[in-house]
Amino acid sequence: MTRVGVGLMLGLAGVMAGMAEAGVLVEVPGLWAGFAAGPAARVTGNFSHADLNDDGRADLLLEREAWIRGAGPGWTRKIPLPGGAETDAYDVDREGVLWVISGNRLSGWRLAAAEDGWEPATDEVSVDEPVTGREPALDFGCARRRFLYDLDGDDQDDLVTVTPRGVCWHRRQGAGFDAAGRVLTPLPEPQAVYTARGTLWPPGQRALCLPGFRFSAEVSVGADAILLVHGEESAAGMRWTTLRYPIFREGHSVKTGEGTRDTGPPLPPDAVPVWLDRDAGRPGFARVYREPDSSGIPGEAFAVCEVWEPGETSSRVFRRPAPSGAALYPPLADINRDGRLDVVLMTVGLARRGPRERAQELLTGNRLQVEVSVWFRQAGGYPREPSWQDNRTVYLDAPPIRQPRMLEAAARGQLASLHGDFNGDGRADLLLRERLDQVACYLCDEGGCARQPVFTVEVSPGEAVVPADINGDGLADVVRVPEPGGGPARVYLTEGNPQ
Amino acid sequence: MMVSRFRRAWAVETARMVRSGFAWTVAAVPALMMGLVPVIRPVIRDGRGDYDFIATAMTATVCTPGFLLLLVWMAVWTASDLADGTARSLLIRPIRRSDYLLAKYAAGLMLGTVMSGLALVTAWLMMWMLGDTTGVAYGGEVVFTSDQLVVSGLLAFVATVFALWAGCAVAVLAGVLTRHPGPAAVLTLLMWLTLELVKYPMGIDRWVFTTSLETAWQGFGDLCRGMDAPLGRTVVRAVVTALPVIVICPAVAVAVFHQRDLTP
Repeated sequence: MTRVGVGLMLGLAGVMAGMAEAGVLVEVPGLWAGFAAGPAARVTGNFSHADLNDDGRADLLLEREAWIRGAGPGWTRKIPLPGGAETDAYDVDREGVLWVISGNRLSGWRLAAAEDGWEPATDEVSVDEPVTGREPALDFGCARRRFLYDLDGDDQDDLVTVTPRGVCWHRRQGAGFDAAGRVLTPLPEPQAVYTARGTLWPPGQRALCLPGFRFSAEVSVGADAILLVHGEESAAGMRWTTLRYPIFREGHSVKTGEGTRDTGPPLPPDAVPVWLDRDAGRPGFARVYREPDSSGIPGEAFAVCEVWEPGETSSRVFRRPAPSGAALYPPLADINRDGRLDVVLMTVGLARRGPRERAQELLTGNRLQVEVSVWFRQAGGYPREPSWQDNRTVYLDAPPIRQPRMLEAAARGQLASLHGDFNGDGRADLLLRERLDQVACYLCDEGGCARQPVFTVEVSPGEAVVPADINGDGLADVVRVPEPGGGPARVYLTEGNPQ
Repeated sequence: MMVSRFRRAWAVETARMVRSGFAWTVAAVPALMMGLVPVIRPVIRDGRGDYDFIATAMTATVCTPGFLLLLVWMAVWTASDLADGTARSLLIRPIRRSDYLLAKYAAGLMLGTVMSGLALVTAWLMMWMLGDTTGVAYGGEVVFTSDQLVVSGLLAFVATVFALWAGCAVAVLAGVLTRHPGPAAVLTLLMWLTLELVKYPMGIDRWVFTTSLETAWQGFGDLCRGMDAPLGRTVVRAVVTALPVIVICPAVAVAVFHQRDLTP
């Protein structure tokens, strides 16, 4: 009996250890997080990670503070960032030096040994990009983005600047940078603003977009090439051009070769460039929209995602029923972390049972159906049938006719997400708001999602819930974003393992 | 002997049903209503398949009006036999009470099948004459062939018929319980209405047979719009939810009928 009891206890302990638990609840003032809309699916936020104290653990950079992570999932210290002007930007090089970028001036700061403040790592450096090319017709003011990236392959991060005129390179020189940069690639004339929501650049490359200025070109600086993707409107539709400038390295010098131009066929104006494969030389395109149904029944509509392979004129169409009013979730995401963008159509609505049944459910029901359809991208494209489909039920706080708060959450696209990897197995898991005050996490694999939740979290009715890796440990955490003015965001830090 | 008695009773009830104008109305109204369906779902020859016209038509005619007519007629027909002494006079013949009641129920099943079949044939004819019978194509690709849609339409029809049969069983029970046509009709409609009102709040909608009526044609309509739909699962669910009602309600009705004083 004793052995059986001990065995049971050990078995139970093993099961418990295998579960990812939403363990520590931390308030993170100033943090915001959310979903990007449109085909480029990602979690957005005003945070980033960098190892500032060289302990192998990612620390958290917020807009005004650096949070130093301890041995556990949480943080041990909060240190105000140097600088502090509204326009300051931050980047951290591979040596853990925090660079404060204020216009043309940069200053490097290193975390003090006591981890209670910052010590200057360098003198202040001034840089200026060479003025070449003609002044853009549109006034972009001082539009400029600067970031650190090792372009010349000397294992030291250089400074890369992107302005409306082009991409400039400032080589790392000791503790500073070359003051006079070199223009590597001129940008096409900035033109009309297109509707791209952002960029989804191949992992391993420094991502860059200029959402604040809505350039008509997107720039990707990679190890071997600089890619420019820009669109021009024409009567037939938006015509996208990909310019590829190969990078040549000679000693400590970097040059870009002759650009190759690839102009695609005209596409609908709302199609945006997306990198369907990590190593693709040029982007594909995608758009998402709601298609009214032909039967004329109110509420019968479809969520449609169209994907164009690079260079293809015809699109692959993915459709699922999606009632009007409910948000369209971002349909493209790499949910199995294989470097390819999968199609995830997630729709919310009443069960499809005919007009009378729908009217009854509208008046007396208390449930919504969340339908998830996933097409995993493979080497040859997408499979014809969904790789897996799943239906989940969420419970409303009142019948739909009374406009319950859960319906508002559905309309804002806050009921479900398939973005966060909660157990570290490399596959995104399903975070589902099952009730107004409860969120559940279901582990997913290549065949679908588990029927039993791995954990549940109590939330306040007004909060939005977003999965995001806040502490940089590779596991998604549950971010509870309050209503505006409702206090700081709170984060459940998860711990777990792939089993 | 037992089968022979039942067959005789069934022949009598069928003959009585054929002579009933109300039964003809029940059978014909959904088919006649098909003439109005093109108002909500036009059917024209434009090269695109019009199978979803059938889904819309069956939903609009059979699933609610036809179903309710059948319920009312079945309850009224059963109760009026008890109220005016017809049942008593019929049982003078050498048939048992259970044979009589089950024969009446069987006649109702036949009427439900004929009603929905007639509506389906009418819808199919309208689509064939006015529209296109091609399969479903989307983005230049044939998603479902015409043959696949025919099979799917028949599956949806099977699900509908089972739900109608279950409704008949409930109506027979109501007729036996009340003994008078008016209260029988009211009781049947109240039972239906109550079931419809509570099934969603109680979360039992998937296990109520009436849900299958429209769900099957919604699934067929989804197929016609190029969406994959689990129609096979819908039919299985329709059978599973209808069968207990088809068995239990007539059994209870027979048990009650055995105790009834048939004096009008």
